[in-house]
Amino acid sequence: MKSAWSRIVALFTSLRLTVVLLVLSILLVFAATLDQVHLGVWGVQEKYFRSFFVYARISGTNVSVPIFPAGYLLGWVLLINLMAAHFYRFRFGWRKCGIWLTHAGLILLLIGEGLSGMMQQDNQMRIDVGQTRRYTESFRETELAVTNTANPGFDEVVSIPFERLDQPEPIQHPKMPFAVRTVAYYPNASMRMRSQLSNPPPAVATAGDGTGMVVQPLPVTYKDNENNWPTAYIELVGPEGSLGTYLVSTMLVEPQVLSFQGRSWSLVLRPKRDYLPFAVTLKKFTHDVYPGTDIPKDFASTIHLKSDDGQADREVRIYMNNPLRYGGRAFYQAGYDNNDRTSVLQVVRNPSWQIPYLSCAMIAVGLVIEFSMHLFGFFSRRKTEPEAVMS
Amino acid sequence: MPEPKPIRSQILLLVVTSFAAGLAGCKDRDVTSYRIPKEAESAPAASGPAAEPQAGPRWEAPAGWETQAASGMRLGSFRVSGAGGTSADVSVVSFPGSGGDDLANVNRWRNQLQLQPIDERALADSVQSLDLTAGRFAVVDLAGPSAGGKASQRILGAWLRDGGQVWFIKMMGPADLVGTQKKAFADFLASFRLPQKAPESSAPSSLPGSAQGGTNDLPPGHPGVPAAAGSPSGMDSMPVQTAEVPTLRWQAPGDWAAKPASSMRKASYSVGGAEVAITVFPGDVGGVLANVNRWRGQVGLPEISQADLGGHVAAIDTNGLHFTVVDEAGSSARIMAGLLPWQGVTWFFKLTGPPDAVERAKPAFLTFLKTVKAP
Repeated sequence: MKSAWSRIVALFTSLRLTVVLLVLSILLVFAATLDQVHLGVWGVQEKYFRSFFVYARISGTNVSVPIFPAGYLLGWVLLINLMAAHFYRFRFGWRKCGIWLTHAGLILLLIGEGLSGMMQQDNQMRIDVGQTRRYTESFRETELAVTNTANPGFDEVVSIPFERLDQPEPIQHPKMPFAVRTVAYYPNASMRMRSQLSNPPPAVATAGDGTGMVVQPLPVTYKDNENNWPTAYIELVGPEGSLGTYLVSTMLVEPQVLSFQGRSWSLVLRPKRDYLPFAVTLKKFTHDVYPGTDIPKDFASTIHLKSDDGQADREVRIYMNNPLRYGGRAFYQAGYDNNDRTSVLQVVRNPSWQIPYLSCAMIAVGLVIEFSMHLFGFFSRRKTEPEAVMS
Repeated sequence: MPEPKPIRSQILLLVVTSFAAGLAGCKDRDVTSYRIPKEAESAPAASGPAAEPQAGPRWEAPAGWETQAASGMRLGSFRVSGAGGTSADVSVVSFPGSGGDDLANVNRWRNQLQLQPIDERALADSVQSLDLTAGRFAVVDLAGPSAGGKASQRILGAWLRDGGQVWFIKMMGPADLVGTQKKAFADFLASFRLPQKAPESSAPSSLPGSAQGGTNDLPPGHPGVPAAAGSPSGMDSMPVQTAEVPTLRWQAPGDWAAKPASSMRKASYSVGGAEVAITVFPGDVGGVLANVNRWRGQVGLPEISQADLGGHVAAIDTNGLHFTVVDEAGSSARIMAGLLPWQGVTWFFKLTGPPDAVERAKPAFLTFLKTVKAP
């Protein structure tokens, strides 16, 4: 057992493993770069980097098999390799502090990327001039919001991630008096009015706005210039049986309302929201161009920021490359729409955003120390052995 | 290489596995719940030139109607509370175009009450007309069945068409409660006032905050701006999501008054007595024939077959884009539309209005289509 353990430790502490992992990483980046043409940035990140294996489908079947280690696996093994080698090989001494610092910086960089992958939220806020918003919306994630609107003072929202609908078991929650059962789940679909089809299939929805619709499933797209329209048929099941089957889709923006046990509820499938502990009001949006051209000189949003705790109550100007950082989020000026009446802000929430800066600084300082020590050692040797150096 | 010490090995293993387990648990796919204040984010800010209210219909809410935040497609939203904690919902929604025919509207609401659809003959008995200050409202009163211990639901619905726009006012809730609100609902309709129409010559400035003409051009190299996806007019009853769709660019004539876009519309303009609406919808939206027939239906013309389609459409190729152009004129309304399938979505550029107004706007509209280009 001990020798087996020793072999495992020898494997994970070996420099050979490091080299193999780096070569595999290079191949992975190369393959991902080529595949970006087909999948786009988001698809490539998901397939090659933010997963443990790259999968390929066996042609003619629906079976996918892992064919190559992906980013998470390579990153984790590299991290373990670095830490293990450090733990066993290196002994701390002031002469080694440069190497130590460089390796610690590398380890931190890997951990930081892992944390970013797990925790970073990329959202957007579309806001019209004069509007106040208290939430941002996810670019990619979708939620089924089941909202109890009966209370005059507040709304109680139960947020069901769209992916959770891809399972046969009914979803229950203490705040919902009914269960949500998935009848059909489409990660991407288009819709048509039944009245437009000469021979429409039988209606699936029995209540709500979907009774006049026909859903046509579409393959999921990862392309940057296309988007998916998540859609599902869900049945609400109360203690006394079904309350109806509803069609929910991100194409149906207006919440569908229903009344159950004397309370009003609303159902809507929408981009996942992140509610903020502060309010953002767009006071002004400016879009200046160079005279006589359409080339933008500047576009900027002047917003009023007001926090619930009263600590912030001020105006902020957000413009290109000058984001607002507040409440753990960075608001970037990303675009505009609607004849310059709508400003589009990209809102990034990444609790670990400072780690790459810190790790790069550690690596830089570590390398400077290491090379400086070599340089000073070289000079001092040259001083003590001038003849040897001359010869 | 030194022989590893067992105790060190175990510490290392513990650190690595606990860290891995910690990170693996970070992805949250759980059902969550949270409480939010009643949404009021659509309300304009209290001050500043940008905060001028947009021109819209006006009304007086009857006593007991609690104003809710207008959101999404709703211009107005009210809650009416009844006995035993019951409540009914009142919405005021506006759509461009005709909003579909009366039969489709009534059957849509009947569907919501789990009632069987009716045909044209039964429609006349179902819809009443009400001549009020704002115009002639079509009004229906529909009650659903009570089944499985659930209280019966009832809809009081009204719609009013005016100038290429349709307003829907709808109350839905428990039948008993809605029954007590019939007079209040009628009072509400009586108080309804449409936005003031400015004289033709001052049309561009009639809309506070609206821009004249204008372009939607993006700067070169700018990241794709999510566009408001819309639906063609025949799907007016189906509000659609604002989503990331690559946007086209165009240059509207200077005398077209831009109107505030809704989440359905990419842009809209007031052109004399007619209106130009630009919407986008995923997929082929039924193809050319279905759209042509829908528009023909809206202007009171009979459907055509695939064989006749060639005589009703023309093609415009401009800036590498291929438009199918349709011009359908009825006795009281005319629709001229450019239909453009592009990158998995279909764009609709539609000019609607009285036949003479559309005729006047036609040359500018065709020129406008030629300014449309891919980014």
